Amino acid sequence: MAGSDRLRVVGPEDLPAPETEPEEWRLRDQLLNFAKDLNEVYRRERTRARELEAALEELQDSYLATVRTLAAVVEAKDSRTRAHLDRAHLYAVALARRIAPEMADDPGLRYGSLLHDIGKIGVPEGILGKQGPLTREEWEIVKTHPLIGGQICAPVKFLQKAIPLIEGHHERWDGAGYPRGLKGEDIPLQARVFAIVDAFDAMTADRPYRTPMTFEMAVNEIVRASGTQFDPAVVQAFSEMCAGISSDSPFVTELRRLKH
Amino acid sequence: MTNVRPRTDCPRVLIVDDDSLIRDLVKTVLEDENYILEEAHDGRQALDLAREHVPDIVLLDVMMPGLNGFVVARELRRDLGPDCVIIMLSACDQASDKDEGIRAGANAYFTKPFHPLELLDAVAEAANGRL
Repeated sequence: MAGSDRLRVVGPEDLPAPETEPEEWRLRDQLLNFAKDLNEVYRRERTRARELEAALEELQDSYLATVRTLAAVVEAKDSRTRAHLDRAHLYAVALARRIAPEMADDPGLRYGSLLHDIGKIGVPEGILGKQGPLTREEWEIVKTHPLIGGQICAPVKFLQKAIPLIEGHHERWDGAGYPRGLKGEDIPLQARVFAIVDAFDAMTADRPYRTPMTFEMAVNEIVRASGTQFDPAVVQAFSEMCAGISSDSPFVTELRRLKH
Repeated sequence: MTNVRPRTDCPRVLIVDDDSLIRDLVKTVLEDENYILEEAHDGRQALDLAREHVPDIVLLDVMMPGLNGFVVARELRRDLGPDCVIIMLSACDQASDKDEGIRAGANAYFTKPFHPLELLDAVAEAANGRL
């Protein structure tokens, strides 16, 4: 077929060469394929990230639900109520935010404030509900509740963060607290914060046997115990926080909602 | 002209480059049902398109025949106000060029060869109003 070269049909290959060489076009297509795959991988990754985020949120919700259930166990035994736990938690987070913002978001503070008295399930009901003063032996038993609480939480990984608060919430700045008699900054900060809000809520809460203190009286009591029962720096932050609260703030509205 | 930007759920992305390969690459990388992608091959076309459909994000080449990217950025900024996110893509990696880009109103400045993932992240951030 020697003559076929001269007789062949004119095809696209006979058109003037494009600006770019065929080699370059292949490279271009290859690049575009890379770009396409990258696009796909990026989308998959973002979908996964969203799924993970949703799963994490669900997990955190279940953690909190579990903690609330555990806390309800103590409520059943103790006179203090769910509303106390919610208020104490609200105060604790607000106070923590003033001192160190990262502490306010620490699940240890949240779980700890809900579970601080979990160890009371290890204290006989006869002692917890006793009318009148406790004997020395009974008091020794009550004083074990922070450590029992710590033991209850120790095997559960996500609850371990709550242990410093649970074990330390009855320690005093001057070292006269229990169970360990820790002093000053040896007491974990979360526990120093919580001790104040716990005492404050106890003073302002309604009890069948006494009228609650006013907000101002309770703040004064806390300030009076600065340096003895409480960390002076945390008391300072607490009284500043209280001075800055106006009666129509969302914080106070939330507190009112929790009172019953 | 008025600068009312219709806030649709799909951000409108305008890709401006005289090199069709770069436009195709950027388009392919950004291809997503959540973006409306448009392209212009020079500064004049970019300005015309931007006046027709106000873009949320502009990916803008610097070295182009006719109007260069700095001029286009300045005009876009003047026409569209501060809401439009302008990301410059340039072969010039001198700090002075970057400064000029920022002075011209760019929100971000990438040098070529750009990293596609960085560009994807920047566009996603811009779309979420964080750039």
